[in-house]
Amino acid sequence: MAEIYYRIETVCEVLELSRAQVRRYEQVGLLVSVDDGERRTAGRRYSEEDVRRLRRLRRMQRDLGLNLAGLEVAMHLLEQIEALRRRLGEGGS
Amino acid sequence: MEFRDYYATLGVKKDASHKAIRSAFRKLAREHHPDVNPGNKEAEARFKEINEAHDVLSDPEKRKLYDQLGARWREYEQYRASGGTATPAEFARATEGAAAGAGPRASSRYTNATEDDLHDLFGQESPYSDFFGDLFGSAGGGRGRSVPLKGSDIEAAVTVSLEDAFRGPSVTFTLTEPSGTARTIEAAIPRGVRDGSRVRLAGQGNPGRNGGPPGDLYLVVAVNPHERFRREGDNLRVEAPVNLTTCMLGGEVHVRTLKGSRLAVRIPPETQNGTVIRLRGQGMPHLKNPSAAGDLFVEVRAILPTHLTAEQRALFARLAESRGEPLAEGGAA
Repeated sequence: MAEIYYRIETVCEVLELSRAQVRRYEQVGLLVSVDDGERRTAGRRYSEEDVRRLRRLRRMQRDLGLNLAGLEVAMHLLEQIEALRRRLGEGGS
Repeated sequence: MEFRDYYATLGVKKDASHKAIRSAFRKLAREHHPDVNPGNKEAEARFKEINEAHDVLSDPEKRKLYDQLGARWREYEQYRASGGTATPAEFARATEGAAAGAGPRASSRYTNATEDDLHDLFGQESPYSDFFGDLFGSAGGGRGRSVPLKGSDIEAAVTVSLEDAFRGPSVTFTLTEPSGTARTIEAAIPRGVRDGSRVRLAGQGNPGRNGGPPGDLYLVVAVNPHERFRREGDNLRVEAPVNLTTCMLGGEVHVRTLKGSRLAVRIPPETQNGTVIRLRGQGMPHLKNPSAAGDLFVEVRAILPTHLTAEQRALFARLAESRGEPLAEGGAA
């Protein structure tokens, strides 16, 4: 069934982020947005998952004072921990 | 109500600088932040306290009132908002001993984190301490008090298949509101929807403020291309493979429509490759008038036979001979 994607305008409004910040996250590889070509309507698209990720990035930057390099390391480690937790959960069930 | 010493919570002195407070908050946040302690209830509770303390002490005005009035600084804010003119000191003297109970509901809100963050971090539980639970009010309740404002419009993109666009599907999806609550929306996409159409769902946008109406939700529809059907406005185009003998002698082929039904299409004798046959009303429904529809253009693709037997080759040779078409060398058996 249909998947929902948001335009960058909506994402920026809801998360109170500037376009430049979102683009910066993309440039350093902290966020990969769905590109566009196949959808044939202009602009990049952000899924609900992207929005959750952006919210987390923004929060960690604000609350923990992390810079982009720190965010990259933190996100990578957190993803590893989450993946390990899932594996443990699967193993235990 | 339990009074919390925010300075003690952050572990800073009463005269700590703004920088020292931020630094203390961040140091504690690194340890207790729910993002780095997923699922740890203890860390979550501790972070709530830290965040609340930081929220007050990082704002010079709130901090000043907190220093003067302690637990009752928010009551004073409310008192000023309702037109009171006494200084904090006068307020403190006048209400001495009388204000230990629940004060009026305050208009301030938790500003350091947005409501989405709070929901994201703590789920449905209130992120406020018992002490401030009734003073802070529910999140978002106190934003700009008097003027009703229409909520903002939301735009979301939705991708559907061409079959869906033909049928007019209903799509179900979940939107996360600014308040953090997830809302499931079921929307009927009109039949004949086009790539780039904007479907307006009135009143499904962000909630209004101060009793204002909610905004609208616009679904921007992208229609994925189909592997067989090509869309040209409300008309559809499809290729139909037809074998050589049917092309030459006439007959019937079956064409599957986008609706899923099979239509028998008459192929007149001596139909040329690439001939287009028009089937009226078998195209896409008109967006404005779905009871009418465009046409389906069936393009004949003649399939030339392969793996001929010796007998079939001889028959083709005889055909060529009878038509007076010279055969190239080695062209016939």
